[in-house]
Amino acid sequence: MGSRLVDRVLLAAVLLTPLLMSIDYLAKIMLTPFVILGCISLLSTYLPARYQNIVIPLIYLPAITSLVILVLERRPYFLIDLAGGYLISIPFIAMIGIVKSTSPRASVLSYVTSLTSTYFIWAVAAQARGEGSHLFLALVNMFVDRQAWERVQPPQYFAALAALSSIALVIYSWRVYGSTLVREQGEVFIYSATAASLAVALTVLYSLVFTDSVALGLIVAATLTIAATLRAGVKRGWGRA
Amino acid sequence: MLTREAALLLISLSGWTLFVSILLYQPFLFLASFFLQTFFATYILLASRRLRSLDVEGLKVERTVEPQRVGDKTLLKVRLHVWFDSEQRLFVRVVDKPPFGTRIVERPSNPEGIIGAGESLESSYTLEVDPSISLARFRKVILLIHDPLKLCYDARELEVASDIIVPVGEQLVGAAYTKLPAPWIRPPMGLGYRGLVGYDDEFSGIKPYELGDRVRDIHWIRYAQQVDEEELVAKKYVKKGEVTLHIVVDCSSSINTGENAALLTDISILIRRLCQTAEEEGNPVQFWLLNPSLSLDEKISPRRVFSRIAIEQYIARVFPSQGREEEQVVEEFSRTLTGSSMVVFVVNPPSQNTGIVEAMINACRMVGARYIICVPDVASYVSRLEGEVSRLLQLDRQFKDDWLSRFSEPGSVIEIGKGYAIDVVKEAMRRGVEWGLG
Repeated sequence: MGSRLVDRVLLAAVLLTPLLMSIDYLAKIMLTPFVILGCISLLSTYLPARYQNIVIPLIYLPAITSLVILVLERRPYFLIDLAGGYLISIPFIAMIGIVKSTSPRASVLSYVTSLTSTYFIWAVAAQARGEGSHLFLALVNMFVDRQAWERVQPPQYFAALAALSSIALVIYSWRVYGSTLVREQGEVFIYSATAASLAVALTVLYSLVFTDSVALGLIVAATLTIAATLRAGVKRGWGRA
Repeated sequence: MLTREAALLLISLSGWTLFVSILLYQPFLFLASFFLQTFFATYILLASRRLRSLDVEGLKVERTVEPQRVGDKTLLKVRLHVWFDSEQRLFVRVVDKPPFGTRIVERPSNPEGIIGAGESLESSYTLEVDPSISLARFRKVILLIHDPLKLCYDARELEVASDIIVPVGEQLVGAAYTKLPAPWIRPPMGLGYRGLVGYDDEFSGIKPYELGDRVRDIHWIRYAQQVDEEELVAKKYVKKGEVTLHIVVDCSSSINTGENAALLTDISILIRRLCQTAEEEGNPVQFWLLNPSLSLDEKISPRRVFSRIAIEQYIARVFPSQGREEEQVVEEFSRTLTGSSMVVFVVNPPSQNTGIVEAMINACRMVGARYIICVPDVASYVSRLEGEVSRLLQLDRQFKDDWLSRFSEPGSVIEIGKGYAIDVVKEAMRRGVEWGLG
């Protein structure tokens, strides 16, 4: 019972950063009915099988309605709002992916996707607020105007939250997917987590003095990855398995 | 070794770190991705090192194979029991290589789990055996020892050899007979005289139709005449110069010699090769198994045993048994034997059936049939030749020499050395032919 509670707390800590950033960008944008409908319609695909008869109208009705309005009344904003709704649902879909994942890889990739997409939408939402435009139009503008990405900078507490979530993620992966040997072979996990934390700390310290910390980080990560691959070895033909 | 999961994880994280650092640079995103990649790479390094240094002396695997018949298919239910004699616990995945001539019809159930500290793993799967295969030869079992996150593993191979003689049901034997192409059972024609080959078939009469007779040999006219008896009648042929190869195997307890029934294995190989040679020459084979545990029908085969499956069925009946064989077998043998027969005796005297074998050899002498006595060189099957064992071997050798000296025909005795059964067949056939020419 206690173990399950700890797992849930860890999962909540993993979801904390993308969730807080999502709340932050939801507060920045103007939530119209079609934005909400777009968000709900994509998220509804994760409903259990017995609700399938609700999912189909939830997806098609807003889409057809906005298309009909665009064609008959020549008003595109409903369709744009719907597209914005689809856009803001992406981080939530990634967060659902973390909860539903069944392997460390799925869990880690869902986490990285959720973090990146949340930042992406947050930046678009911040730009949309500044311009007073629709979310989707702001996204198009940001793609056209590359400098717009530099104008929006997320608050510093996101970095602390991301660090907390990342640590929570590796502990969560170890506890949930680490079979029943996690206690007996715990030292491997502790050494790895400590080494990774030290590498991050060194890179951050390096960045205070030099400007090429990203290159250093890439070199360290690449070296370790290649060393792990060579040391452990890759079975010939595993890709076909 | 990296698992597929780990390789994909490292590739994905590397790609993501590159993407975040080049296209969408944000320090917190970069550091999160960097932290995760560094963590998993270091973890794999340390975990693979730990797996390599594991002492797995106590790893044990036991395989049991249970043949089953489902319809016209022969299935093998394979069970693997894996345990680890240690207080340490390991997470393992069991991989068993299916033997030649089999295919997996039911995937392994429960192939992975924890072993050690009293815990063991039971895995089972089902194989379908190709109808042409009668011996399934299992070899190594591979144990993949995983780290807790299953990102890397260390493969250990354990030799768990087991040879399974696939039992063949009557239905399958019947099916195999009907599938045989007609020329296969015919002797080669027009090749001139060869020691064991006849020239042509000659009609010699009729007989009740038996399983294994060709449909084309059914005497339809005679059958129509006696249709009330509802019994099929087949034409009987005799080949000029045909040699029936009689294989007499003394299945006494003395054939259970050597480690892992090495003599039994050699006898199986010997019989198989004898049958193969006879088949190549187009001659029929008849089995005489001196095994009191079997019924008369089981120990004496029909005159023509040419199906490989049927041969395997008789080989499967060669097992050590207790008790003395009945005289009835000798009588039946004497009735069947002709001057053109060749008899191969496989016997390890002294045994309870030595007298019966002697009577059969005398029957050969009376009708003028050629015979070869194959006796094992017991010393080659025993690994320790010292002390009491050595004295017993001397006694065994003395008895064999005395017994064999009664049969003075040149070239009638061949010794089977451990692992030399195939060479013995060539020698037996050569001597049989030379005898015939003489």
